[in-house]
This record gives sequence, structure tokens and C-alpha cells, in this order.
Amino acid sequence: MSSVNAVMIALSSGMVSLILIILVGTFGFLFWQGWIWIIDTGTSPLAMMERLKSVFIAAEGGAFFMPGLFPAIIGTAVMTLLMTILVAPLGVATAIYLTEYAQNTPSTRLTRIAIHNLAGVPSIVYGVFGLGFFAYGLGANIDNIFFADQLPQPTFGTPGLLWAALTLALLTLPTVVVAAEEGLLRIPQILREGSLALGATRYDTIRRIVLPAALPSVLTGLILAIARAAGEVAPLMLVGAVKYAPELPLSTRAPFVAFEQKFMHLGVQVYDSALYGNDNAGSLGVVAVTAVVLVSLITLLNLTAIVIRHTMMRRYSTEGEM
Amino acid sequence: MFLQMAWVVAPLVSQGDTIVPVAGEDTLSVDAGDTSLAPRGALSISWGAGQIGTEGQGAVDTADIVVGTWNTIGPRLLQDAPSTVLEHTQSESERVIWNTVQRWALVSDQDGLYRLYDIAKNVSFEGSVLEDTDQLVRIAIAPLGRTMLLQSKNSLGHYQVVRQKTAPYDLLLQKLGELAFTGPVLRIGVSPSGGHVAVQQQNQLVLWQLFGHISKTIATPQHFTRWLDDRHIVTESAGQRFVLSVFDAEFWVTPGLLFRPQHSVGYNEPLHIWTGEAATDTTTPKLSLAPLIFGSIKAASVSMLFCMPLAIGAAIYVGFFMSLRARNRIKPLIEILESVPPVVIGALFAVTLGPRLTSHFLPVMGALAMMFLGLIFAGIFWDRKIVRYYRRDYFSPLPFLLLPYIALCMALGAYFARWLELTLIDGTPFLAWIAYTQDWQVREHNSIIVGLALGLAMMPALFSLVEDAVRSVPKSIANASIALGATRWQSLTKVVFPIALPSVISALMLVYGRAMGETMIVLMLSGNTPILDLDLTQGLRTIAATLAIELPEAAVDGVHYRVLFLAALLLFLITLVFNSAAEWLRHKTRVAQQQLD
Repeated sequence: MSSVNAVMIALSSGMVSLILIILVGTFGFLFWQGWIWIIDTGTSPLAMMERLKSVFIAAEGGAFFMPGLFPAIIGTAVMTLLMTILVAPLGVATAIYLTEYAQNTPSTRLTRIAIHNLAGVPSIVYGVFGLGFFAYGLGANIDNIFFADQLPQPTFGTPGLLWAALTLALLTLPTVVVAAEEGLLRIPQILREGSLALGATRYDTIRRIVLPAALPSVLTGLILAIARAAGEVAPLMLVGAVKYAPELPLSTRAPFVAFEQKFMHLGVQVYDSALYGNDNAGSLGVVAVTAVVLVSLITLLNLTAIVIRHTMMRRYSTEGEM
Repeated sequence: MFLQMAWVVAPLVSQGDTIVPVAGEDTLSVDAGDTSLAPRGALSISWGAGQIGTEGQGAVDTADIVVGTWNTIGPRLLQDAPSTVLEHTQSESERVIWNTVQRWALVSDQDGLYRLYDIAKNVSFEGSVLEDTDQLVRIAIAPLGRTMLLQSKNSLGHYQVVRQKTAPYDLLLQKLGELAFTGPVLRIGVSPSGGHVAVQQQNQLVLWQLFGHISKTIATPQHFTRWLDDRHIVTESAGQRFVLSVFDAEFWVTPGLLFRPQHSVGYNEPLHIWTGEAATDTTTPKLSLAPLIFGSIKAASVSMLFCMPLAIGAAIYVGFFMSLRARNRIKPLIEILESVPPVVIGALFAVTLGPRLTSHFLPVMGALAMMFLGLIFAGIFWDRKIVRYYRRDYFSPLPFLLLPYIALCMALGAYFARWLELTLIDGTPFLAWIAYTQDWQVREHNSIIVGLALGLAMMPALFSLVEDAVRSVPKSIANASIALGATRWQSLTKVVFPIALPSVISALMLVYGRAMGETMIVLMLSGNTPILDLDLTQGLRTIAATLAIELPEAAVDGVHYRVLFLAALLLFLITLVFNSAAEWLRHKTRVAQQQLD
């Protein structure tokens, strides 16, 4: 009997080991393949630089033309930044309302349930919504009103940067709200009461006491949202990310961002080079390098979030128990 | 409102629609085979001085029906071309429908019975005799393929001729559907593309869509004259002619069309088929959502098969056996796997791991088997120490200690399996050998690879949730059971896990819902073949992947586009049900556990 127990324990412990092997294997394999591809033409620093330059500016990907990672990185960054600008106020405001102002009424509970459910909606459904509602709905109306002169040619009535950012903002909204809410709830009630006792209004308390204290958790939520957004590909394929965009989604004139333009994205690049890079040996290297860039970016973001969360937890853990 | 958008139901005719006088003939044009299009060497059919061509219909007088080869340009059979006379005809037949591409002729006799002939073999098929048919309407050609409408007393039968898929390759006359009506029929017209039929009755016009046999009745005092084009009909009332726009969509879609098997043209039986956008004008799109829903369920289920043992096994170990300190270290480490986006996992499997798993199937299996054997051995050997002396924390470092051991076991297993391959089957990869000797081919895109990759992507989330569930069971309960003499494993399985079970089930539902909605992995690995087949060596196609592939190219506001939106709604509802159930269960458990504390 006890031997059966030990066997089961060994098996479950073995699963942990297997996961660790998978973890090391996945990352190791990616980096190794990327490294192999970089040193393929020579191990001298100069040759490696050349090779790297060829990935980032214009990669050779077998028979297919690969536009290079640089525009994809820029596209990802611009889109994610835009998304952050859109999601941050909305998410934080929602969290503040839910924790600081809302009573525990059925409608509040319903809102909470809705937010939790939104987190579980498949990302492709967000993409479909973004395409139907933003691009073909809102965008078409904008075209009718503001860009009627160019009309058969859609300006905003087609997938583009703004719609992609909006779609991803919706997609990451639950992440931000939940994280910010968690942080706000963790602020000891005594801080608020102290502020109110000193004569501050509710708004002042929130602005000067609660929000600064909850900033790390808000930041954590935003970083997690960015990490999630950077890894999403499926919705972007519907709402504006393309395999090859001739121009960066930036401009020198007033808004400096070409909201209506299609853009390139690291994730889409991975998908594309994996699926259409014919030449197996060559394309694997490009896939690996692209994936390494993407995974490193996301891992870095996630680690930052973990570290911030950790320090934050430590900061308030004693006060919370007062 | 959304539903209304999705079910494409045409508002059809507005009575006072544009009044355009139409000049020209108002008779229903019956096109007997277009002789100028007949390719050289094609079979053709003729009777008396009648018509000739590769496909058509006509009235037959008392002459024989001759089948011959089309050799010249022009409506004439060469004398020296081999020709035969259909056996039974001889002045009895009245009407004939023929198709020399498919090599059949449907010939009616005096009694109104239609008999199907294979004109290449000059045989008739007794099983394919139609009764109760008094009048032939016409063959509807493109885009429904070679189908025909045969009118009987109270209906129009929609028929097709197909060949058997197996040996004698006999011709089969199959009824695809029936356009039923009551009361006398004044006029029948088939639309130019052959997709719709207008049946004019006393005070109503019934429009039938042959694809799915869906009808719509319009009460109208006007009388149908003919089709102007595929979307407009010409009607007549009190000497005036009108053009009515009768369709606002390419075709109508009903729930039956989306979820029930449809007998499509060219197929021998009713099937669930999804083709998305019709590839050409000559085929109708087949929009059965069943294979897509099935594919989603199949992919998610197979992924659970791989994900569950790994994630739950590891989670109960980390959650129950490891110390809090060790757990706080190892959990973030495993959660790092979550930051590998699905598209990267998909790319890895698509480019290298997938092909390698098929070419190294036996070594991989060997490695896995040897790993489990090794773990069982380890358990037997470490028996006493692990189970009895639980005061010292043996458990926290155990997974790390096992790492080299497991790696060794896997390497041994792989080498052993490779050695077996080398000695027994001359080093041929096992699957290739199976494919060669047993005629059992594993496709490059199969459900197992999809499940494996998807399971890997879902594993960190499931691990995290289950670990939380196990960890949240109060330690005092486990300690109490151990104090009463239970072993650690007994304490886990009999006491802790049952308490955590609702949370675990809720985690499973959550992850299952997420797996159903996962797009990129399935898109890259499944081959996207929409088939309804439990066979795991076949590919599959999920709703999510279909959306990613087809939506960017679907014509905005077209039927296909709206059906895709409906599919997205379905996916949303399915995941909503899973999420809500999981959330509800989690809530219930939390309340119950608070009472436990």
C-alpha cells in the first residue's frame, strides 16, 4: 500500500520535473536555433552583426521575401502604446468606481461578473467584434462623414492601427481592471479614513492617497495587459496587422501616428515565417529569431510585473494586518 | 437582433418596386443543349431529325434515340462514328433528358415512367424508374451541378444522377428534395443560374431555393412571367410588366441548412460539409457549422488529454507536497511558460517538432514509457523514506533531484526504441513502416499534434489554477488526517483533493473553454480540414481557425460573412457557458471553504 503511495508521489513529482524539462527545452531550443542561425555565416562579430542586420532590416527567408523585424517591432510597439493609452484610463476608472464608489448592488455584481467573463472570451471573438463593429461599423461611418470625398476607397472603414489598438484595449480591459481593483482593495482602509478625517474630500483622498499607493498594482495590470497584447495574433489578423506594410505607421505631421494604416506585428511575423517560409532550414532560423525577440519581450514584461507585484505585496503586507 | 442579422432572411418583394417595362419574349425559355459548346469526341445523343448536343432535353417523336460520338463541328453525327440505339425506345418514348458528360439519359415512355440509361453501356437501371411523373420541367444546370426538376401532381422533385462510389459504378437517380405545393400551378420558372425556382399559383408566388429547398411565399396579384436575372423576376399584371427584386442576399440560410446534414449536388448521401466561400460559380457553398463545432470540441478534448495529467499531477505535487517557500520559487518559474505566446508554440510545432515527432515516433514513445517506468521504480525504491519520515522536507527538492534521473531514463528509452527500430525494421521510422506495411497513413496534420501543442499551451494556466485550489485547502485538515495515521498520499486523495475537487473542475472548465477559443495553434497545425471524424490521425478545423482564415476575405455583409459572425457568436456563447459555470462553481466552493475554516 505504502509503495503505491510512494509511486504516485514519484509520478506527480516527475510531472513537475517534466514541466521543468519542457520549460528549459522550449526556451533552450528557441535560443539555440536562433543562435545557430546567427552564427551560420561565420562566428566573427562582424559576420554575426551582418546576419543580425539582415534579420532586423530585411531578412532572407528562403524563397519568400521577408520584410525584416524592424518594422514589425515598431508596429508592435506603436500599436501596444496606443492600446495602453486607450485601456489605462478606462480600466483604472472602472476599478476606482467599483472599489471606491459603487455600493454592493446587483448591478455592481453584474458588472463584476461581466468583467470576469470578458476575460474568458476567446481573443478571436474580440477580433471578429473589432472587425464588424469598429472597422466596418464605426470606421465606415467616419468615412461617410469625414472622408466622403475619397469614398469608394475606405480610409477608416477598413482594418487599421486604431481599430487594432481599440480591439486589444477591449481584450486587455479585464486584466487591467482586475489588477487595479486588487491593488485598490489592498490599500488599508485606515489610510482612507485618516485622509477623510483630516478633511480631504473623497475625490482628494482617491487622487492623492489611494491612487499613488495603488500605482504599483495599476502598473502591474498594465504591464500584464501589454504582455498579453504583445502575444496576441489572432484578433490582429482580422483588424489590421498584415504580413507586409510598405510604410511604418508613423508620420511626421501632427498626430505623428497613422491611425488608419495597416501595420506589421511580431506575432504575425512569426506566424507568417513559420507557415510560408518554404525553405525549412532557413525559415526555422528566422522563426526562431523572431520568436526569441517576441518571447523575450513578453517574458521581460511579465517578470517586471512579477517583481513590481512582489515589492508591492511586501510594502503593504504589514499595514494590511493592522 | 443579432440573430436576425445572422439568419439571412430576405424581405423580398416590395410591391411597388421599380416598374420597368420589359420587352421581348415572355415564354419560359427551354434551352436544349448548346451544340456549339460540344467538345470534339464527346458523346452525344440524337433522335430522328431532332436535337443533338452534350446535354439538354427535348420531346421525342417516333424515331429512335441514337447515341454517338461527336466528331464534327456542327449538329451532325458522322456516319462512321460508332453509334448505338437505346434498347427500349422504339417509338414509345415521349421525352428525354440527357447528359453526355455524365453519360446518362432519362427517357420517358407512354405511361409517363422515366427510365435511367447509362448510355455508354446502353443499360437501364430498374431501380431508377420514376413513377407518378407527368411532366418534366427542365434540367437546372450551373451552379447546382447537374440536377433536374421533375414535376408530379403535387410537387416538383429535385433529382440528381450520381455514380456509385464502388465497383459496378452504376448510376443512381437520387431525389435531393421536393418542392411541394398545393393547388394548381400556373407557371414554373427556373432562374438562369439554376439556383432558384419560381412557382406561380393562383394568388401567390412561391420562390424556392434549390440549395436546402427553402421556400418563401409571396401573396401577389401579379403573375410571374420569367426571370430577368438571378435576383429579379418579371411579373405581369393587367397588361403591365414589372421587375421585382426578390433577393437581398446570394441565398437564404436557415438553421436546418447550418446544422443538419445536407444532400448536396454530386454527393451520394446527406453530409455535414463546410466549404466556406464557394470556390467557383458552379458549386454552391456548403455551410454546415457542425464540423467546425465538432472540430473545436475535438481539439480542446485532445488537448485536455495531454494537459490534464501533466498539469494536475504537477499541481497536486507543488500544492500539497512542497513547502510554501519552495512553491513560491517554482510556481513563477512554471508560469514563465505562460509568456510563450501560442503563436510561437504553433510555429515550433509546425516547423520542427511536428515533423520530428512523426519521424521519431517510436523513440519519443520509448522515452515517455521509460520515464514512467523509471518514476515507478524510483517510487518503489524510495518507499520508506518518502512515506514515513515526513517530518523532514524531502519533497521540495525532489523534482530537481529527479531531473537528471528522468533525463537519463528518457534518453535510455529513446535509445532503446531507436535500437529496436534499427534491428527489427532496418532503421525505418516506425510510422513510415506502419504506413508501408499496414497501409495506415498518419497525416502530417493530425489531431494528436494539435492536441499536444494546445495542451502544452494550456498547461501553465491549468497548473496555476489547480495548484491554487489544492493550496487553498486548509493545512489543518491534512494534518488532522495524517495525525490519525493516514499516509501523505491517502491524506491527499481521501481528504484534500475531494475538498479541492470543485475548484479543480472549475479550473478544468475554464481551461477547456480557453482551449476551444485558441486560434493560432490550431490554425497552424490542424491542416484546417472541416471533417466530422473521431479519428485522431485526421486533421480538424475549429470555429476560431475558420474565423481567422475566412473572415478577412468574406465579402462584407454577404451570407458567408454573416454565417461567420454567427459562428463567432456560437463560440462566444460556448465559452460563456463554460466560464459562467466555472465561476459559479468557484464561488460555491469559496463559500463552502469559508465555512470549513
